[in-house]
Amino acid sequence: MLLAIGAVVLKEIVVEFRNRSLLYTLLLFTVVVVLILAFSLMEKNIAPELFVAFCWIVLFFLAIQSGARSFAAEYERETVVLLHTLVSGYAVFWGKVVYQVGMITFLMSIAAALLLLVFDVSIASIAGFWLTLGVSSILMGAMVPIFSALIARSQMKGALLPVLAFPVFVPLMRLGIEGMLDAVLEQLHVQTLILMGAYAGIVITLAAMLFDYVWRE
Amino acid sequence: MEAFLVRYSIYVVFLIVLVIWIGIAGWLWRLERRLVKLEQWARQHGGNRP
Amino acid sequence: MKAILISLGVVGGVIVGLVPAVHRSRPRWWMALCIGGMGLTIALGLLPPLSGTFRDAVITWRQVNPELYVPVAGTLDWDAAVASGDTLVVPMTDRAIPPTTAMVVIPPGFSVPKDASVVILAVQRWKNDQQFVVRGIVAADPILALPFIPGLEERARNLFFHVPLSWVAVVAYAYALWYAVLFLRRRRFIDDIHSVSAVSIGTLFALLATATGSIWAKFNWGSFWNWDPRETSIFLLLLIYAAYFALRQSIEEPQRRAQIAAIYAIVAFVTVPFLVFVMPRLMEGLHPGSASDQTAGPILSTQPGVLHPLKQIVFALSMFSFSLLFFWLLSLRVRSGILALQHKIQQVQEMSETR
Repeated sequence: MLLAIGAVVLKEIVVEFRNRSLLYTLLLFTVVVVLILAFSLMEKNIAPELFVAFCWIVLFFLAIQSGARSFAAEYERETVVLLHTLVSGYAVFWGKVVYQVGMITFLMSIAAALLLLVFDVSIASIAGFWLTLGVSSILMGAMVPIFSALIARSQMKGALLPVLAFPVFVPLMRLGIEGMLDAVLEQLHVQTLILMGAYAGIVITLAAMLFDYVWRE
Repeated sequence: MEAFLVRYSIYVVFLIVLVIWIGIAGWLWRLERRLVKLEQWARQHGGNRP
Repeated sequence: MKAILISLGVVGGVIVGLVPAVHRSRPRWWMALCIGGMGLTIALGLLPPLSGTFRDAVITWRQVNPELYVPVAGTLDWDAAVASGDTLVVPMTDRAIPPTTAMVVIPPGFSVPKDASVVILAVQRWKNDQQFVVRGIVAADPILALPFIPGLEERARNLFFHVPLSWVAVVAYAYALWYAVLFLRRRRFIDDIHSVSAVSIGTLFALLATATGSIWAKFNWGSFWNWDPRETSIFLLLLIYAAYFALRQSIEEPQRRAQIAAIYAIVAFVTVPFLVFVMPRLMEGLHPGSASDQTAGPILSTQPGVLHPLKQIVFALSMFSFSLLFFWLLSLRVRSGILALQHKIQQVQEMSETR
């Protein structure tokens, strides 16, 4: 089982590094957001609240961008048949989850580092900030694949994903923004992270249970 | 005038809401009867259940 | 008592709503119950005059708006009436527990009925907290009266319409969830019809709840939309179910459409308890029952006297009738959906026969 999941993750990484289109798009997106913010604000000192808002805007769109292609590309490349025959739906789901989590956490840490470089923000609890950011990226990344699978065979995929995912993300984002503000202004409350984990846990468990229905025709 | 408003404005609201409800109820009642007729017709002509 | 009444309205509404199965026609008595129940709710919710106390009048004068007239119910002591010129000054004992007695000044031109044991007078505080001036006569010996709430006045009646509408929306979404699960297990198109119909009618109710709430908010909180946690959550709820329809629109193959929609309905429903029952109570907000409110709100609070007995009855009745209305609309929707499906199947059969 773990082997199958690992194989799916490996396959994702290999495919990604063959053309690197997604990686470049996401990196470009991050850099553009950071640059636009830097240009328009014209000052290095920004309010911590604003900084948290930027982080979350970038995080949400990273998740959406990387999710939009994930399953749709399989159908376009017609690699679905291979996945169907070689591994179980379970392995596909968890493989995608692990890959998305890794991807988003990696890119988000780059984006946050860039934001921190460009702006001067006084952060009360650096460890708390990175912890919240890490947990948020992991949970967002893990919640994306089910929506990505839902839209894979519909028309106007790219437009539909944010519409579908946003309302379900909101409770997580609400808690995450609150938690990150706490970390930046005073100190992190661990219970916020636990609440986030509980909410995302329910969604991800349900997604894992339901994934087979999307996957098998 | 103000005393009049204090006294009677809620009755105006009541009348408006009541009229709206009577309209909706009548519409629902008619819809129900038409649907029953349609269902009977469908049962006589073929009437296979999906 | 209150818990029993309200749960009777809520549970009774769902049970009676489901008694003739949703895909069957409504019996006459059932339709009469729904129409009558709604009529009674409207009458009992809107017609009884408000009756307050002198304390309410003082609170309103001090904290809300000194210009406002407050309906105070009480008994006038005509034997102790004093006339000065055309003006009468009569002691009046209100119906508060314990009651207070204050002087009401009746200016010329008002003929307060002397034989009524209880009168409701629209009064305004005058000179001091023990003197009130009459600005209108609301009722004499009213059969029923609803309590006056300082700061809410007539707007308190919205409780009977706004709350059931949003409650029914939650019932509708739960119903849609149930049939989405059934569809995934049995793969019958009828279950999908149930699910879509429940979502569309639930969304209609959610929209109406938003509209009633937002009009009410304009007059009570000053603007149509305030981003109160509950407003945010209903906004997200509407967004979720709008996305549900967008998703259905974008998939053409019926089997796949039903399946994907069912999965989304299940995943999306996870947010409903959080948005409706958890978040608005944890956060600071304007709605009753939010974190900044000391009580759990008028409906769930266990404190005695928070919700007036007549209000409890009308509220329970309203929950019951709105549930029936929902199930009626749902039944109409589901049955016409089934008819359309049968029609389509028949067409396909005829086509294959001619071939």
